[in-house]
Amino acid sequence: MKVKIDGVEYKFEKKISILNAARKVGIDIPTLCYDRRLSPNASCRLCLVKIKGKGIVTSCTTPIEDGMEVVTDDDEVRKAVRMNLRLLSSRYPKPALKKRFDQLLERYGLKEGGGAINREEIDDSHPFIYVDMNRCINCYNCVRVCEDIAGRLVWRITNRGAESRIIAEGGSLGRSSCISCRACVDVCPSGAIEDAMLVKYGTPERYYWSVCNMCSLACRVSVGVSRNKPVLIRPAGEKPLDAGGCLKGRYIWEDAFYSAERLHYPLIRKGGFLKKVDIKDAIGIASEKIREAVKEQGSEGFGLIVSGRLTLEEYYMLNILSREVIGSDNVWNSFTLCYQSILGEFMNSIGSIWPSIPYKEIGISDSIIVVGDVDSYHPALGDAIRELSLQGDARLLVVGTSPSTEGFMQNASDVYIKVEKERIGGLFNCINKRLVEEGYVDLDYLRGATENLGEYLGVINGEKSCENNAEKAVEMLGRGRNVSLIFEVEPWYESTKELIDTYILLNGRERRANIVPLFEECDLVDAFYILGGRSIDDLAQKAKERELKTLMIVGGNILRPAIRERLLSSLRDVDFIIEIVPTLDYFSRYYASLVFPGRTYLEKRGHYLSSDMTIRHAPSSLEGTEFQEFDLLKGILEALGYSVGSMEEVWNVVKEKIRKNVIAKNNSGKKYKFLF
Amino acid sequence: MVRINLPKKEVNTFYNAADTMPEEEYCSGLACYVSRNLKKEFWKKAMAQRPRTYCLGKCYSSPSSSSTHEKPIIEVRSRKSVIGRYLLKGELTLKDYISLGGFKALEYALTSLSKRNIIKEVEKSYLRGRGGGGFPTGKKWLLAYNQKETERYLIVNGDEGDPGAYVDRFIMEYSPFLPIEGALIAAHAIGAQKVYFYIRREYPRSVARVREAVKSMASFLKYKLPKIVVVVGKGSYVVGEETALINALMGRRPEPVFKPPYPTERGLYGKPTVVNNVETLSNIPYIISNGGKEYYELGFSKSRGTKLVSLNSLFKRPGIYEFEFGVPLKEIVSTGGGLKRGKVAGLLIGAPLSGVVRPEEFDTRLGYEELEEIGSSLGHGNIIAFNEESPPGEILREIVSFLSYESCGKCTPCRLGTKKLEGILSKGYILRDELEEVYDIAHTLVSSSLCGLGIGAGRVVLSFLSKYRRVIVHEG
Repeated sequence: MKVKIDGVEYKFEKKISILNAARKVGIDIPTLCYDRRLSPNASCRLCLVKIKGKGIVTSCTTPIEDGMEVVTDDDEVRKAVRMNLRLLSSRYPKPALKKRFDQLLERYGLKEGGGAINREEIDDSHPFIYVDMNRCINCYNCVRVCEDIAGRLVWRITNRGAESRIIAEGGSLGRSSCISCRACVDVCPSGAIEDAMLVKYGTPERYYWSVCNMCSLACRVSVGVSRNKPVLIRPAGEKPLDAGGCLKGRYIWEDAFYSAERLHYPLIRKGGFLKKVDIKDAIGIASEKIREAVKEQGSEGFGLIVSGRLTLEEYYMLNILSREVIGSDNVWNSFTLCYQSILGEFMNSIGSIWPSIPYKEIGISDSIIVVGDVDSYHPALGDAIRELSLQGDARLLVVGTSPSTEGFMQNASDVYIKVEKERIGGLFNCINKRLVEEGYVDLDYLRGATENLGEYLGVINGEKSCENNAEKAVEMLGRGRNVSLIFEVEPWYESTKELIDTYILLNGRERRANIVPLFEECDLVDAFYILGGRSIDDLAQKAKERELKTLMIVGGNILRPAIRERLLSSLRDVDFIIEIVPTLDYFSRYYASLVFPGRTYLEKRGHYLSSDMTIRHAPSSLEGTEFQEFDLLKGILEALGYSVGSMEEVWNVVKEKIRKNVIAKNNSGKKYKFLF
Repeated sequence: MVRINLPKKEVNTFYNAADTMPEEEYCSGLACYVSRNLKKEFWKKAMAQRPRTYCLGKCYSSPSSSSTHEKPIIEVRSRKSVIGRYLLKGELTLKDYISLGGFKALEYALTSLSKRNIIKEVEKSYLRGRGGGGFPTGKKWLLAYNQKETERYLIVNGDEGDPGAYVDRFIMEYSPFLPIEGALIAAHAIGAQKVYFYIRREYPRSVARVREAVKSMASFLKYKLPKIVVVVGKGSYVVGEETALINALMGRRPEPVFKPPYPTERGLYGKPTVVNNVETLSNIPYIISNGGKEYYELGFSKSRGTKLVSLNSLFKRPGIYEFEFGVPLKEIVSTGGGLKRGKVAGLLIGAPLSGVVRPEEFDTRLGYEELEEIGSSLGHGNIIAFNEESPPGEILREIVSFLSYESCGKCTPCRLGTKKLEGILSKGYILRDELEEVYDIAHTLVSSSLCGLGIGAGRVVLSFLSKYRRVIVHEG
């Protein structure tokens, strides 16, 4: 598709909006009500462009067409944009916040804002969200994001015309049913809805780099600090794939960092109650209990559950503790606890559970398949995929399963297939069958690259009922030259087999296929990578036989729904549980005998491994957080008579190990195997 | 998928009459304004009333109130009568309607025509939307007919809120079976399983009559027909816009949505939906019975068939007249018998979203394009004559104030631009200093509004300024 924008001709692969086309080629069209997570609303009327022969239109809602000539900024367009901005600013207080709206006012040389400030429009009843509707410009972004993404109806519009106002449910945000997701803060272009933290502590005095560990992407983020307190998380980059500007990253840290349950000193259980204990004594008790367990049951008496996203240095220390000091292989992590069976499928078929490419390389795909709720579990990746589709870089096929994902990815998709969870396998079976039948598969290549192509082709069969959907999918995938298959794997999934087969089938001499499995529930592949891990069955067995005397849990938040019940019932049979965790959670409160305060990622130094095997460094931290898990583990190891070096020395060893691993992986030369 | 039934409390604040209205309502509409001197005390009461009532559909006896019950003159002035003949005898019963040939077209359509052929007849007739849009009806049906999705809806738009318009009101009151028959044919042709009949609250008699008609038909027709649901408005002009109407039916704020996608592709509950005006559908039985070709022979140019026009109370003979398209405006004016007070200073056709017509333009013939050419538009065929007692600046003030009051507030230019213009025009004229800003706002409204209301608001201002600039603009 050839489109002329401001006199220059560009080629586009896909029918995308003029706005996205222009932004893709670096022309910034002003918008207030457009947000790529939301479907266009076309209400601010700022993204105006002129189409030759058609006149002025909103670029957010008008798709490009072959031969179209677009002018993004001429006198008439500029005049209308300026007038609309002027009208919006007539009631707006003095621009000060440098929000998008303030920036636009400056860009168009408008300084009028000077509307009176009405106290009644200010609502500070919510602990995290500060509302000043004097600044509201009626873009409805908050209303729409609350309805469409958060799935709530907290923000509402009342009255009509010039009298229309946005109000919180019941008139006060603090008393509303708001779940504090703060999506509304994120989409507000004028600062009417703002982080209360920023209002309370002021804008940050300084920023430092860190690595968000709220999901396995491990994005780099910039932490804003005011009075030695973190108040704001900013994305590190502009582009979504290295951004970390998602809602999860921006806000979930507060739940840990500022939790009322935050631990500041170790606690020991005495007579059923947790009592404060000195750190040195606590380390002494911990090492004593580990020693006791080994004395009683040998190396099988001690075990380790690794949870939370730890730094590579910490994993290394835990490896030393378990494998070298104790000589035990009793390591569980929430990935292996949840996914043991699926792990087997991956290993048997393609020999890896890691993405076949770094996330950034998804950007060069021309076709992307998304299965499951990537937007909820790995929002930064979801955002990146959405942008790739909206800007026409890739065609997007979304297979939606739960109602909550509808309207998320779906809005940005080229093909959307809604299917019940149990039927995903069937759908992909159909797709696979069709891919073969329609000749989209490079059989010659696959014969060499797989172990059992002939056998697979003999048994492949698809159900009739999904043929319509499969047809749409195959049409898109077949044409692709670089196809990425991205899917959220659920612990109770029964359809990974078929998805893996699709991936294998799409490989060929003329086409590159990539697979990116994401593990929504127990997102800890890095722990697995370094430490390995055993299954929940194994843990239950050991606990039941009362073999396991002392258990150390590092991280917290391991009670994932999929394993919650079994884990709780198993751990009742363990004598002594040590937990290292930032906040007092259910486990530490009711199960642990000894609890050490852990650090959140904001306070940690070290290196993280993202699930696409990218290493990210968190160099600095807050003042007063010098004593870290690393030092704690070092203390325990020393008490057990083992000495390790400094964090830097440890890192050098870890780095070398990872290097070797990567080389080994690349040289494995394993053939793929279809599963059926 | 769109969420339906948003919290009622907030949605209701959109409407001006969702809660309570005075027992007796006085109309603030444009037709009542131009004839305010006929019943001064009515106009005074209208001006004092809060919330305001806009248009009770009694523009033939305006200024009006909810408790006046006069009836308009109704006459057929075309070679053949398509709709008018059903209105000549007052309120028809089902029996009366059948004796006039009613429901024959429906029966014929159901038994002897394929769905595609029904649509073909309508295409042949070149019937165009009578609600003001002028979109070819057959084409609209075909768009819905061709959709993959099989769940479909038909909406009958009885939200006739334009000042001076009361044609739909009397179709619904006198002969509710006519639009219903048309709707059932339409629903059958496009494959709609359900029909929503939306009627504005200002027409209580229409609501009662349509409800009665739906009920009385149930036992009469032996075919399996789609269910007809009658929905009553709560007081909003913009609901008449089809996408806003769809939102209203879904229990959301009745704000217009950008197009495309058009409702024929994604409408009510996200399904293909055809929204047709009452008068549009009332043409359908004739077209099916007599063939699209015969209908096409009436009218002229790109405007085919007949059009009911309604004349306001300033005319000596106010009422509904069925004309063929192509009749010169001056003939319509003379049919109205001249004015009760003063001389015709101009006409407002298709108000409020269209320009004004000056007496020297009365040679223009009634037709969609012909009226557009002189900066006006057909609208509902609502014609308001005004005399020299109503200065153009004040008429413009009334129109802009109405549009600002009725603006949904979704898009920037309409929400704030009309408000700003209302402020400037509140004195009934524009100062020279303000002129540039007025032009800027009007142009911005035209070029960047989301729906016809904002665009129309800008056009009206530009039309008045181009035709009456000298009297509207005052020197410092």
